[in-house]
Amino acid sequence: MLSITRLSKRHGSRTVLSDVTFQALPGRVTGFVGPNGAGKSSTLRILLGLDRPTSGTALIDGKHYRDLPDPMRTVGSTLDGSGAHRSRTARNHLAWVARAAGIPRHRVREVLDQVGLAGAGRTRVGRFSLGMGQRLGLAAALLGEPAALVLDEPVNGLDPEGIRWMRGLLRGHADAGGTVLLSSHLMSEVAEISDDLVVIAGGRVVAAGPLDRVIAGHASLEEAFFALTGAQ
Amino acid sequence: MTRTLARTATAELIKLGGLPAARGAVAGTVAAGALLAAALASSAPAGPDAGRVVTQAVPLLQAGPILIGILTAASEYAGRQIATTLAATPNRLRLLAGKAVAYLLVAAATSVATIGAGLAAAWLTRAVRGDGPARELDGWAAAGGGWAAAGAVVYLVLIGLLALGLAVLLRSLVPSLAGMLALVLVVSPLLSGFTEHARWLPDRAGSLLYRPGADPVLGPATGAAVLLIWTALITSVAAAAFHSRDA
Repeated sequence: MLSITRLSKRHGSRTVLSDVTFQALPGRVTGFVGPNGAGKSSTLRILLGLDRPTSGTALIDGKHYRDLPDPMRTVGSTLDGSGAHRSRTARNHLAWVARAAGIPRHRVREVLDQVGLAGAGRTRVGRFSLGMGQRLGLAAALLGEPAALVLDEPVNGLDPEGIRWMRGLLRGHADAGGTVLLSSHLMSEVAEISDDLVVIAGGRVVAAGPLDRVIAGHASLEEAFFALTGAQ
Repeated sequence: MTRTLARTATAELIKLGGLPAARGAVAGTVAAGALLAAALASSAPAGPDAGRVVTQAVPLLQAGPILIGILTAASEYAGRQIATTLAATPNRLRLLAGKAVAYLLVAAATSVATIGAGLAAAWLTRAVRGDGPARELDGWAAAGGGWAAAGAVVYLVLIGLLALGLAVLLRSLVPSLAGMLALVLVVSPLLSGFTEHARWLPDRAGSLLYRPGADPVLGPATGAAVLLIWTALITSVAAAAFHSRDA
């Protein structure tokens, strides 16, 4: 379980997050939606131990990310696409990640197969399309066979076939008992994939709960989103 | 702790080896060592011996380990690889230690190969010109040339470690590289023409490792100590910043 509790983050006088609280539960896909700059990435970066909160906690099964013994075996994550240096090959990228995370080398080939990059292992990351970069990022997230997946805008740049594939993969992960937290600004994708929804705007959670409860009274998630976030 | 550090260091070695720029810096430094030494040896008619020829090349060759050190840290911030790195190794001080170990291994191998290639090229060049390489080797070794060559290796490794620390602090390749090269190629030679206090600059002090006796105040050991203090200072500030700031 991923537990975000009363999380606040300020950069000088600018408030990025204020009092953000929600949970992502095992067996469910939790969609984390909001406009650009609403605080989605900031929340995920704190959860993954990259940034420090001003106050509040973000815990994974009750622990801070940095206190997990082998974090990538517990949580797989992507931020900002591939997360790889553009001049190395996909296989070299996954090889160093596996070594650093204490994951056996044979997983590299397995995850390349799993994300559909089996033929692109020797290709430099800089030559990848946006969608291939997303797949490589997901491959690194899957290396440690983690129970939880934390994905920032995972369908960005994927073609329709890729989006469908990603949806199937995340659904399967949750149905097998895993936890999935994904952020997105693409409402229709999130509506199709999520069981639970957290809506964030201006650094505050404006709605959270099961999908049908959050969109109750609105024609669609999109309508609900604009009503909740106060956008036009 | 030792096992996890070994894991982190090995991952950093795989990471460096996967960067064409790092592989190029290693190969380029060794090749430059041979070419520079050959050029210096052939252009000085009654010039210095082969060992001194090699140590003359060190001020230029240091660009190699400096680049390797900077790439070890700054490449994390091209394409936001740092998020992946910290996801795999959230312990930031262990990560820095792993980077330092990986750098030291690569830089030591590169520097030994570079100085070795330089000595071989200089001797070969002089042999072709008709000077006796074997006789000269004896004279050079007797005059402490072996120590100067070892000192050059140590200097090359240490100056790149300083560059690594600077790159951890600045988080970017171009400013780190510009800063280091400006120091060793412009500021330091220029200042040493104006003031004797320039001897306390990290590269001037460290250069006594391969130019023993060139300074009335500092020797090889004290010069190396001054360079080490600079490195420890920059690295501590960089480690404190890296540990506490947002990635």
